[in-house]
Amino acid sequence: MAYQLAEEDDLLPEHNVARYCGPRKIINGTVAYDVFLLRTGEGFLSTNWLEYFHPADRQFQVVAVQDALESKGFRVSRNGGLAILNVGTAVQQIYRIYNVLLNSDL
Amino acid sequence: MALSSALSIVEISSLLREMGEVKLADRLDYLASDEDLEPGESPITLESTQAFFELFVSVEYEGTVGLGSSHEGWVYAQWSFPDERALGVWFVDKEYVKYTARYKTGKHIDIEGSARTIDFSKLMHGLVQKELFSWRTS
Repeated sequence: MAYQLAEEDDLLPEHNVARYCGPRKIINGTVAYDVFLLRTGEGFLSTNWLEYFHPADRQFQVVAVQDALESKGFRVSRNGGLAILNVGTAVQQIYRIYNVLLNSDL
Repeated sequence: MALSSALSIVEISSLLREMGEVKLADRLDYLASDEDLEPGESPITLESTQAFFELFVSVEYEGTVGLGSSHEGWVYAQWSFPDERALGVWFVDKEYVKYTARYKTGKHIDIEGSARTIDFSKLMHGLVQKELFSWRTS
């Protein structure tokens, strides 16, 4: 598989990250809400940057992520899936939640 | 939770089948098995399954529910309602649940203050009060 890998500084708000969801996290064709929570033993949230592999071809990106996961010894189930999250939306939501927490009694 | 506390996961699954909830029963059987477990992940626990069943037989709702599980082995139930409200409940044990609920707009539906890990019975009453569920009459 030949492709031009992106550089780390190229991550933009319109880019996307993907996180593998096992079959237990796929519910009626959608992903469980906790799929972006840390797994047991995970020190940080592990995702794959789709545009790192290809600027636009989603099928290529997904296959590349699958290859990357398997090369790290991760067992990718045929019944599993990838949850894709837009970087800009994620950043906006984090700011929103941060502000809510800042202004709450918690 | 008198009734559910005496039931095993197999018995709960059988009761769901008798109620015509075959898809839920199949999913529960799957979640209780070792199939597709990721490293560090556990099958669903008995207490969590009993709590889900207690809620399920206590309320009625319009919409659909699907089941998953957390890494800890908590049953996770995700409801979708016709008006596009959404609810996710993690049944931690017989006493506590975690939840997330939102309107179509994405605004959080607040059940009990700001806390999202709450007492099981408070959640049940809160969900009825917010009209996501109604008490089962039959």
